[in-house]
Amino acid sequence: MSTPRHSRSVADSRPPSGQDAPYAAIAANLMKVYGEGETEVRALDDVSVGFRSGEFTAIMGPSGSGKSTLMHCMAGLDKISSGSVRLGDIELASLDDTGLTHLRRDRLGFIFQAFNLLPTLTALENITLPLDIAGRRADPAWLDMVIETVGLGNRLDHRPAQLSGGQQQRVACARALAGRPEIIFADEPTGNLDSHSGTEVLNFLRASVTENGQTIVMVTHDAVAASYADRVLFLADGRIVDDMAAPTPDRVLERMRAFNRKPDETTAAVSALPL
Amino acid sequence: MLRTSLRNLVAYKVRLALTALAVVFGVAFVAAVLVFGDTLKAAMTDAALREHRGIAADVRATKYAVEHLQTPPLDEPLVGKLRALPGVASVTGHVTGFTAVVDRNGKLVGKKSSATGANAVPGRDGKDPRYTLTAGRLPAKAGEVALDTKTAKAAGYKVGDRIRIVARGPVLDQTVVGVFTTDSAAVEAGGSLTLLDTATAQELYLEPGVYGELRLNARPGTTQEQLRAAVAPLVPKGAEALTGDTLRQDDRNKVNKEIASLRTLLLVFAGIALFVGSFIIANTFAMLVAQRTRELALLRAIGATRKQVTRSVMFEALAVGVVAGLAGFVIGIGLAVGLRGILNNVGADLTPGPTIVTTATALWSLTVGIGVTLLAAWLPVRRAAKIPPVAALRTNLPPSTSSLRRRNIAGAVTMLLGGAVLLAGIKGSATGNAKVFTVMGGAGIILVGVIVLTPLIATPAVRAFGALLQRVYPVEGRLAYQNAARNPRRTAATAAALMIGMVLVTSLTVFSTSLKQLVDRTLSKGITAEFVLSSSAEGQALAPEIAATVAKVPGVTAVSPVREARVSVDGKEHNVTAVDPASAFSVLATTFTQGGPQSLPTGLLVSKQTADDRKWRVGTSVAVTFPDGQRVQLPIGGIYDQAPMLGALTVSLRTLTPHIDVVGDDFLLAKVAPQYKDGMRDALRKAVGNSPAINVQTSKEVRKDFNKLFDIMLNIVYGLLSMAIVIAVLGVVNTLAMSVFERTREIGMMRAIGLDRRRTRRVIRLESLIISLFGGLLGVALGLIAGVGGTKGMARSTRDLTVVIPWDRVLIFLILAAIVGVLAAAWPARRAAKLDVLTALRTD
Ligand SMILES: Nc1ncnc2c1ncn2[C@@H]1O[C@H](COP(=O)(O)OP(=O)(O)OP(=O)(O)O)[C@@H](O)[C@H]1O
Ligand SMILES: [Mg+2]
Repeated sequence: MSTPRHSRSVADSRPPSGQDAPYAAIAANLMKVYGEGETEVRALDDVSVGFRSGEFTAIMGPSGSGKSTLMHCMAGLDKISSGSVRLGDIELASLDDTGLTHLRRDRLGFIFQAFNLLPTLTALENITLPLDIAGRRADPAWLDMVIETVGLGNRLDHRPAQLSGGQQQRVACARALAGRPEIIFADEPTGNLDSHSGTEVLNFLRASVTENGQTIVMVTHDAVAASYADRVLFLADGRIVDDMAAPTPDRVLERMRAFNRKPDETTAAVSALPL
Repeated sequence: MLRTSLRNLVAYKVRLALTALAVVFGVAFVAAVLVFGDTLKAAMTDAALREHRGIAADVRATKYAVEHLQTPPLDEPLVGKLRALPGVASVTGHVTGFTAVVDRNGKLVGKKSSATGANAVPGRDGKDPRYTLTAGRLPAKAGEVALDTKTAKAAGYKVGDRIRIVARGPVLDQTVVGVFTTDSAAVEAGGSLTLLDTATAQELYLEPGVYGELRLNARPGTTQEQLRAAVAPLVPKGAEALTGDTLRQDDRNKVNKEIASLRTLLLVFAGIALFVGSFIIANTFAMLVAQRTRELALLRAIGATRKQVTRSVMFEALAVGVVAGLAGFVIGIGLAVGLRGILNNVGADLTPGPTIVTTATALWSLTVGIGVTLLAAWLPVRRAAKIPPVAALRTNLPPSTSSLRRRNIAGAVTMLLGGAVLLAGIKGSATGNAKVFTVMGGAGIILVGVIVLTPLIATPAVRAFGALLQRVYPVEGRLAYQNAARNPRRTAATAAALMIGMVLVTSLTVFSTSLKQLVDRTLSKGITAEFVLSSSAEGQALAPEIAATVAKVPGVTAVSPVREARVSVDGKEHNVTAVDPASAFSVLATTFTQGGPQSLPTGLLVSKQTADDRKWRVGTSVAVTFPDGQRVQLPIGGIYDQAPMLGALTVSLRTLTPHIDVVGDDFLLAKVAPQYKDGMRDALRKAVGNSPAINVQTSKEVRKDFNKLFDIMLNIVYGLLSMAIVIAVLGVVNTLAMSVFERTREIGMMRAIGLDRRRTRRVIRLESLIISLFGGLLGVALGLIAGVGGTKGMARSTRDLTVVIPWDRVLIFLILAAIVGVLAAAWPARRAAKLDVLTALRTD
């Protein structure tokens, strides 16, 4: 993945509203502590962050820095220790398990690193699964467009086992998009893919943001992947240490190198962060 | 390698425990049957031996004589001759028969089938050593009785009370002169013992002056065999002399035989339970092996041989088997004890005695537990050994789609083979048991074929159910259906376990319902009498004078006794029925295909089947050898068909009676003038002295009793088969739990994208419903085929037997299968719904 396939022109055509669009999700003073006493781990340490509608955010950081935890907490998959998470106008803490489930069903999309699809369903059935679960009819025009973008052609009735990893992950992306969720969380969606398949998936995500104003938050370890985003957040030790707009692979790489060298320096940047 | 096995046992302990449970139940069943049998055998043998303890030699009627209603003259002169023999210390004469005590409410005390009367045999000191008097004395003359304490207490009788007793004839008024304790088997088995003076007992049970049995004691220095040899030449025809040891050995043999047949019957059901259990084992090991493909391949990759892999998994099976065997053994003992308690509670009054647990029972339990587990695990384990080492290196293993072709061919061939055997059985020349076994064997082989083919049937069947369920629950229905269809082998094996029980339940229900209806129909068609009188104690005949009494009741227009005996013609035995020629054909509806009943008073009537077999026609003169050995030429006057109450031959009472010693009527049929019908029951009851030992029933009530009998038997069979069903349910639970475990990540993902807990549970429940309805439907369908086929097969030799399908029951079975499905899903569904989404997603 030496040369990103997407042209700068895509990046240039970011929706102008990006900077002052409303927040799709906001975390305030988010704390997540695992374990107790000796084994206590602060996976998230007073994180405050907002994700604007129509924005593609990448989250980066060393292993164990709390990236997945942040996503899980934002998506209501994990309970937070303190602070607050709001999706649109809903405070997650006010919802019980069923409420959270319905929230995920109706307003969120997910893409995981691996094992995204039900092996027994066809690609198309996997895509419409969240809609089926919600008992919602898909907007046919929207669905057609999503499917079009997946670009599986006549392989829509194939089972996941008959698809390549990249194809499978694109199906997973399409599934996340099918229900027109307010925000999509993707945890290392290209982590298991070769560069070619990874590019397919990233192009797909980028296009959905650019063309349809989708909001996406994506965890990645790959600078090139991060460069597809509008903004990159850097996490270290459960804190946000940097926030980079209009990233390029080189800038991202450089930033990461910096942080490997001088871990202490990074904390200083926190106060300067915009919410 | 041993270490991996042990680790696995620990890692999969819940699952293996669940699996072991399937075998535990089967083994427990076996152990319970063995313990129950041993216990009962010991108690019954003990009781029988107690009855005959101390006897050096015994003279009694031969088995042949008893069966042929003959009583050899074991009389006082014979007793005198025996006493005179050198070596004989003492001779006592004994008479026993059916006698029951009537309580103050007019009901019989204790269990009718062991209500016994016997003569008191006082020694020189005036005491009978077998009984210890707690009050009063032994009966000495007519009208006096002594009662065992248990009976006396139950009825509230004491010395001096006037009481009523019943034997075969009218009710007798007696005075209680004594109460005694006894360890007699009859009393221990819940019956009663009434002691009478010898003359009265002889009159009641045999004939004046005749004993049923003579017991001898030897003088010191005379062996039992010497005594027997000395006695033998004096023994009259129809009697035999035995040593005390032979007598007691006979007792033992008799008990052994009874227990053995009970045990065999119960073990058949235990076998069915084990067979069903073996499916669960095979299925679990198949699932475990599939789950561990990667791990086993890794073992192979780092150098383990196939044999080592096989051995390590077989070792796990062995451990499961050992645990199952031991647990089954222990639970079985408990079951046996509990069963005895339950049976005693419902009035079975089993002979008391200590619970007997033998080493053999323990060994059998272990052997069965281990054997079944190893056998069932063998195929899946072999598959484990075949996993190539490279499987470890493939990350994304495609689901095992190994072809079902070979299996389907094998199944089809098996079914064809079974069909051939079945046809050979039905059409072939074999008769009797051989025929039954061939037919049953054929049906069994077909069933095995179907079991082999279930994966093939499973796919379309599951799809059909899925389509139905999707109409109600579009999403959950589809997910459930696709899970069930994912692994046809697994679904099939799980459903097959349930199917086996269902096949048996359904086919036996069809068979028994058809038979029940046949009996009901023949009884209602064959008897034109309104009332039937019979002994309320099973197998007891009525004294002949009762027929005469009943005939005198105003309004009774005809009464015929029905008396059964055995005669032989040309060396072949036949059942002969003796009836009163004057009235028989007004109380029995009989169709004659040739001739008629006119010649009955001095002639012979034969059934069509016998006539056909023997090539007899009206006018043929037949030489009938009666039980007493006399041969009489009797001309055939008529050939009858469809006469359910009549045996192969029919004669008049007057023709038969002179040739038998034990004269009694199996039942009486009474026709009643219409205007008398209303009060007739009371009139008849009054005529027989309101004896509680005599049943006065309308023919409708008799039919109802028969129906009840069928229902009881069927219910017992249901009870025995329920174990197989319970095990099958365990199988469903196991399969679901496994598939929930395997699909942890899928479930996590579904939950993440918005499937709530309730609907997650529903997915599992629907999957369970699909599996159990598939097993239930297939079982019911096959059961119907087998039941109808079996009934039709039997209809060839049993006229008038028509197939009756109890659709209401069939529907109940299907509903039960559905309920079973829902219940079986409860735990796995809860587990699935409880999974933490994030943990589930992280599982690999
Ligand atoms: N369930 C848990 N129990 C205890 N500690 C946990 C749990 N989940 C995560 N952690 C800890 O929280 C911290 C953050 O974990 P997280 O999975 O968010 O890291 P990450 O940034 O996603 O790492 P990676 O890049 O390796 O995926 C780590 O130190 C981890 O060990
Ligand atoms: Mg992570």
